[in-house]
Amino acid sequence: MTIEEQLVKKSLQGDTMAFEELVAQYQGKIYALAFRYMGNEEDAYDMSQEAFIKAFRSIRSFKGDSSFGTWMYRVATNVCLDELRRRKRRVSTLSLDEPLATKEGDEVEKEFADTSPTADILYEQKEFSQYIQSLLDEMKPEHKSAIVLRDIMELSYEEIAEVLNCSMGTVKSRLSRAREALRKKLVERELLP
Amino acid sequence: MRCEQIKENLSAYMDQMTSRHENQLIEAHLTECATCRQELEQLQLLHALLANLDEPQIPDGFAEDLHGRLLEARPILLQQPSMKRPRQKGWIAAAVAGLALVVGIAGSSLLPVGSIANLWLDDKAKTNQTTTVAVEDIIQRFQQWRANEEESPGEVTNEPGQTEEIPQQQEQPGAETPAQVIDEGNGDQPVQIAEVDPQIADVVKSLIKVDSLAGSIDKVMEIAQANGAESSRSLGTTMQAMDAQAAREISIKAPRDQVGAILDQLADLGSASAPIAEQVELTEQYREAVITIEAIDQEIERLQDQGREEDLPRIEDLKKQSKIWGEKKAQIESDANLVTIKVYLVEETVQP
Repeated sequence: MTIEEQLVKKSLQGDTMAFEELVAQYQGKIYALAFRYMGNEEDAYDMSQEAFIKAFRSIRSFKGDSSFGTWMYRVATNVCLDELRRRKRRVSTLSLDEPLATKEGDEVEKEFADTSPTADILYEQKEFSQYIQSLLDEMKPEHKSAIVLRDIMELSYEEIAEVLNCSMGTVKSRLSRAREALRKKLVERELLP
Repeated sequence: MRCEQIKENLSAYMDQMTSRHENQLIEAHLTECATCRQELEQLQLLHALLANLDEPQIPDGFAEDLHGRLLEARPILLQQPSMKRPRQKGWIAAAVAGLALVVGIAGSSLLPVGSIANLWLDDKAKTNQTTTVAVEDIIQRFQQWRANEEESPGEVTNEPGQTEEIPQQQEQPGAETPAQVIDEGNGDQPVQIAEVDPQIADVVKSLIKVDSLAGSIDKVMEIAQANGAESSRSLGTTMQAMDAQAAREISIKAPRDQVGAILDQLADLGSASAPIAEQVELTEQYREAVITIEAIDQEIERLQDQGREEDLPRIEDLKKQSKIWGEKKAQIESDANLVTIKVYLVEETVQP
């Protein structure tokens, strides 16, 4: 039995310390993942907390078919995408004229999206990162998750299929479409040669 | 291949997820087509840019925050019941026997009756039995089961405190008894043990080769409805793509006594293989649902008693969870009460 399997087993018995060791191994990745889905630090923090709590509560449903890490990606992905869908539903019921309750992060993002990034930005890693994030935020959840899991988190197609609970063929086509959309945007802005 | 087709595959090609044959086609095209070459380069650059984005740093205090919340979540996890053997050995054997009968009617049965039924027989009987169970014995049990059921249909006993002595009526099959929660009414003690009834779902699988899928699916639906299988809402159809052959899986949930007739009629649709009977043990999942609901409800009560305003969102959240688990529990009860017939329709197509 690997150390990870031992930790999962102990977590099953309600051992929070064992589970926290698992958390320590994955929290950086899960936070990064949540950040890419949600687009700001505050939501990333909340969603990754939520993901770990949910994982702890439902650890009995982890059967060990995949690695704990892959399963954790799946839990976190579901938590984030559910939240995004919930918000989208809520927003769509509001009047267009009504100002949305914005957090600080949203404001900054919006301003950024309005400014036309110049080629200089390429050299400014941070700003480029923010620009990419603003593009990701506009994408459909299934495209966004494909890009985030493959290009940013660098999971294999097989792992992505497990995380998204879909076939490898679906991963392939979603990824192809999502990359094509991003490529076009960057070409329009002359950010790709 | 034309540019359009090539472009669709460039993303997978870049990740080395295309077949050797596809690689040949793509590479041949790339030597001739500057546009596609440029697009591939752009995709590769895009991937490199994305892979090298700054990884956001997790804020300090993340683990400490989580620690507190994990401790809160822990009570629910800790409500682990002591494992108990299902009590109603008698009726499970009878249910298995019942299933064996209906499958038998449908034709050649692959059900390993003896081995399954024997598992559940009480120890005394077991010593007298070899691994095979006499068919007469099974039929007798089945008939006994039917007779009992007619006498007192669906009798439910739910008497708190009756943990040592199990009322005789509980030996009856088919009674959809809700969980027997011990410690009920004793609010000071946390509920630790929930004695639940065994939940076993019967699944019969039948593979039928048909000439045309489309027509056959409708016929399956008609057969199911004509036999009083649960109304269309339980006729969940799942589409599954299978290589080389077109296939559909259709689930029908039917009352036990209808299974034979349905299988018979299904067999007329095409060339049917012998039905295979399986059992899915759902007791543990059921127990988990019962325990979780109980623990959540207790927690809600506790928070409500404290009456603190900051707990309100948490109470709302818990209520939602309780509802979700309630639905899960109901689903298991329904699954265990009916027999699920999984029909696999396979259309044999001529390979081009």
